[in-house]
Amino acid sequence: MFGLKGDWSLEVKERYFTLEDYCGAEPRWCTGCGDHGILAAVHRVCRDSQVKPEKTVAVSGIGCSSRLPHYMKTYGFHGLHGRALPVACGIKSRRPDLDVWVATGDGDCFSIGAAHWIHAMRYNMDLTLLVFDNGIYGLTKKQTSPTTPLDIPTNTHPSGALLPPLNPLTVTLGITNISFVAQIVDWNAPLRHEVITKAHQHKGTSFVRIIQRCPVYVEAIGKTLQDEPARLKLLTHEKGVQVDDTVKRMFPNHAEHDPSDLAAARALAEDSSVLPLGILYHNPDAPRYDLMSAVGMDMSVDDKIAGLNQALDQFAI
Amino acid sequence: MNSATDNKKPEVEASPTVGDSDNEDIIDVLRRFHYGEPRAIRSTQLPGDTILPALLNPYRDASAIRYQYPIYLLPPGEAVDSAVARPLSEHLSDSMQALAPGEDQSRILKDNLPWLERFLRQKLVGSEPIDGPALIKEASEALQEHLDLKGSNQETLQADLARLGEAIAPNSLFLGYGPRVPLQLMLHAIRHRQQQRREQFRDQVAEHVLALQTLLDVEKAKAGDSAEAGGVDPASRYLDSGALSGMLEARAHGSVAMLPERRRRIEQALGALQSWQDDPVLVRFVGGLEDPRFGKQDDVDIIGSDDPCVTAAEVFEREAAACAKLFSAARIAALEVDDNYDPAVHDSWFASFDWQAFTDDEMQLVTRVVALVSADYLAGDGLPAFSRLLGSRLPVHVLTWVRAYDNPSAKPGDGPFDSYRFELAYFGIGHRQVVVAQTSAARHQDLLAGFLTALDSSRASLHLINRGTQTSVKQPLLEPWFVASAALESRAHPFILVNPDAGDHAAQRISFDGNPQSDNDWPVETLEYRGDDGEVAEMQLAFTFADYALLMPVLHAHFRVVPAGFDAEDLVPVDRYLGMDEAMVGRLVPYVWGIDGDGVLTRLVVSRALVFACRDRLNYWRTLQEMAGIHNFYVEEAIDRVIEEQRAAEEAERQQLLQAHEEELESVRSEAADKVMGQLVDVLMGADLSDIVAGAAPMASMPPTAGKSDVGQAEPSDEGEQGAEPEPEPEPEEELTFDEPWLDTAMCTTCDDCMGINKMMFAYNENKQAYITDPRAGPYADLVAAAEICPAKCIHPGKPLDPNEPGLEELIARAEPFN
Repeated sequence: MFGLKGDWSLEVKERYFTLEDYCGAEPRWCTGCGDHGILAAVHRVCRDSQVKPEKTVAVSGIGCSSRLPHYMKTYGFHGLHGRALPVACGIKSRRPDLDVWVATGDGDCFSIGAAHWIHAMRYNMDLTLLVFDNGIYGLTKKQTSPTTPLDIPTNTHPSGALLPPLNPLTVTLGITNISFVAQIVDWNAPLRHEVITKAHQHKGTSFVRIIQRCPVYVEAIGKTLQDEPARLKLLTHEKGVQVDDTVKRMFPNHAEHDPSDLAAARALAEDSSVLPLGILYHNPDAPRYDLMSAVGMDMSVDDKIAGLNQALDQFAI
Repeated sequence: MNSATDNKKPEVEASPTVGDSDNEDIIDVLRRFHYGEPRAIRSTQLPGDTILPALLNPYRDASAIRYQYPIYLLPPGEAVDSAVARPLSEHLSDSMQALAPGEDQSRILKDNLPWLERFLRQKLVGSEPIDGPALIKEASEALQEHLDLKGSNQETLQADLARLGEAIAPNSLFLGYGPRVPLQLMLHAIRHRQQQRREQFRDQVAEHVLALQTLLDVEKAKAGDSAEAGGVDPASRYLDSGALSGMLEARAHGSVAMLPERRRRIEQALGALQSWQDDPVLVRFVGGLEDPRFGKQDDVDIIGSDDPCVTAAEVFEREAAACAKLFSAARIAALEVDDNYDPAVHDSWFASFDWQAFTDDEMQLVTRVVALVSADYLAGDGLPAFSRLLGSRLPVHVLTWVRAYDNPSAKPGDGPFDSYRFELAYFGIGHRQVVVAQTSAARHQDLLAGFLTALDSSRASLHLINRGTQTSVKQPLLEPWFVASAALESRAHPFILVNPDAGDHAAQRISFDGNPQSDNDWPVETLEYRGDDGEVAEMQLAFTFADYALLMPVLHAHFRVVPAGFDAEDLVPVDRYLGMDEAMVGRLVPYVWGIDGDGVLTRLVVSRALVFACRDRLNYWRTLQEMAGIHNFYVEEAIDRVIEEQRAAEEAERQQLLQAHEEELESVRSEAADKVMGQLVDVLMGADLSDIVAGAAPMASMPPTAGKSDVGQAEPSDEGEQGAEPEPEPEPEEELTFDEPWLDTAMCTTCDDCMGINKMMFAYNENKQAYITDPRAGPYADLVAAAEICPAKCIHPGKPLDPNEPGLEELIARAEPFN
């Protein structure tokens, strides 16, 4: 119309950020660790979306995964064990203008931080929550974590983990007011990039469980899945993840799954025979607590005092 | 809808509560305004300064819009898909796509092409073309300074910019939008058409000169001139060439001296050709519009005139007369060289040789004459001279600017709707043998199509060009190019290109290309808005001449604001109003949707004078449609008639078949009844009834025939099975193997493993994904080890490059699973 083509909007980037603008210190993870790839994906997603580094903050708890803020040339908060999410919620609540990433691990999130995990998911603030799940406490050198598979020997259970592992997907999908639940493996770069991009674009808490290799302490977990891709099931859908055929060919099992179907997502999470990969659940309309908690932030101190006095005056005798 | 409109949707203001009697008052005063009652005109509200037609709201910020300008002018002799110019943004984008087809290739430059484009646009304010290669170089340097990248990013960007610079042809030009764009494009089109022809003709003249000189040299030799001149051979003084010629004359032809008339003719032709000065001027603008200010350019001449139509004709005739001498000399040369000149035929022909005898090719060589004339002059005092020029058969081009809302023949001080508009295009079409192009500077392709059609023709041409206007000096709401686009969209200035060379029928001659939704009365678009309930809704809006008029502050007096939230059955959109018979409109009041600077949608009632103007525009549009072969009234009537006849015939046939079917059915029923009755009679007359009763039981227990058939279908017979072709087994997928080492970069997980093995052999790209920099930067063993450790299995070691590497046999075996 009016002689304009579909690409009529001239979107000029007044500032342009390259990958290096998001790269902080040299990562000190072990060579071959899956964390390198996740970090690279975060850098790429930041670059692709051109978020301002000074408007970005990475928050973490304790663990190998939680070193991520050091490797981002953005604001960062390396917090206490299990407390990444409360810190992130606090930041988002008071600074809704910031782009908040949360890096946590299976121990940090599913064990000591489990309570915060449950409630942060329900708050549904606009956070991108990446759980680096290697099934082991790696930083402290091989102790059993909530997701260590049965029979994997660790320093706390030398004859092998005794209890069946926690299923983070069934737990997350059981929480009220969740809005985005996904699962990926660190070694498939295109899928990893696609899902983290979608998670970042989502407005609400995006929970992404990343099955991540720890080649030093539990090489068998990643290796088994890599050698036997039939244990994985790729979920694709026009509302979820769409990958090209070269990626699909790497997964003998794939299925169409509508991420708006919570019951189907739960059924997929319950199925212990295969690990679903992709977006299990997505509800863009779930209420966000950060929007509610930000109400009144633009009020001046005087306005707030006046409001307080008005409220208190109701109780005056 | 584009993303820019998604951010903030137009809103409808909530309605204040008003009583029924108030409603009656409001619609009454609006109706009275529509009919032009002075008291209602005074008591109703004019539109605000920021008002725009509702569909144009997303385009307020011109700096955020990518449009056709600046354009890239290809140098003469070059074209892309036969186009001699194209939008610069398109050229840059296509060039980048060709240079770096992968999504992530040259990403930094691709991401910053809009910045480059904006920089170029800012440099090209006004309509002076600038040297393309120089400007792209300047823009490239500015982008590098702006981004201030370091290391490999900077190197990559610099290399990509250098490659992009190579995609800009030497001698190409960039042209921004401005009032003189049509003149620049006319000059560009002339250069494309003329320069090559001139060069070819120059070569042709040189050939003729050489050939004629050779003829004369031979003649000199025959006449013994060479001996008189004292040849180089001292023995020549002992030779009498005349005597030799005399001897040869008896034995052979060819040595006869040239007749003096012929010799004189050849000498004259040679003189004309030799004295021809290759005039660099390609076009003479005969100016009445404004000083074209082309700067110092050898190929442009500007001639001032108060009466450009007359002067242009004189200039052309002068040019043509000079060319006639030259072309006749060239033709004589060609005839003489082939010894085909027959004085009995050709002498009289060349004695009266003038431009009317030019071939099309010769006509194309004549310096172009373009008369620049104002529309007011053409439709006013200059009308007779203008008409004479169009009818004169002189291939002179007349170029004028037209204001789409105005009447060029209006008297000074008259309003634009006080009289019916004088249609200059229609006037041009009335001269039948003239190329007429009504186009707009906002669409360079259509503008150039008109110019090139005229330049390729040997006819006079008329170019009516709308350049848009600055809608308001104080607060321009839209750029002139957008206003020109709106004129096209609203049918205020429809595009037409009439080419008499294209055929004898109007539909063959008239092209309607470029008109949006040319089948419709008005183009219709969807507008998304937020209602007073906060919900997003959409409506279909026609963009009419009244919407275009709303762009002109001088025409705001023809609109009045409908109070916020007010609605009434009598208020109807102007396009629907115009679609009704005049007798049907009764008490209806037409309106258009406007939108203010805050994004609030408002209805605006339209005056009766403007509605008349809309109806007049619509009438002219439909006339042009019919001429261009769209919606021809008689054709559509004939089609309807044929369809109706066909339907009637089909219905008659159907009724006939139904009747035959009924008759057949009745006949079968009757026969069956007779047969049954006969059988019944037979039974009753003597059959054993017990057999019938006994026979009924097994019949009732038998499976129904259909069921039997179904079973038969469900279980195919042996024959069927034997006959069936065995399904071909799927061919196993051919396994790909690699001789060259290769890394599937897209699959790299950035695990650092390969880097840990050999940092010289592997490196990361812009996405921090690995690729092989140099497979010889280490032993084959490194490649194999990297392939084995790679978690994504994306390294393929291929075959070893060094046959002397130790342990190759084992390494090749280890590499095999990854190749």
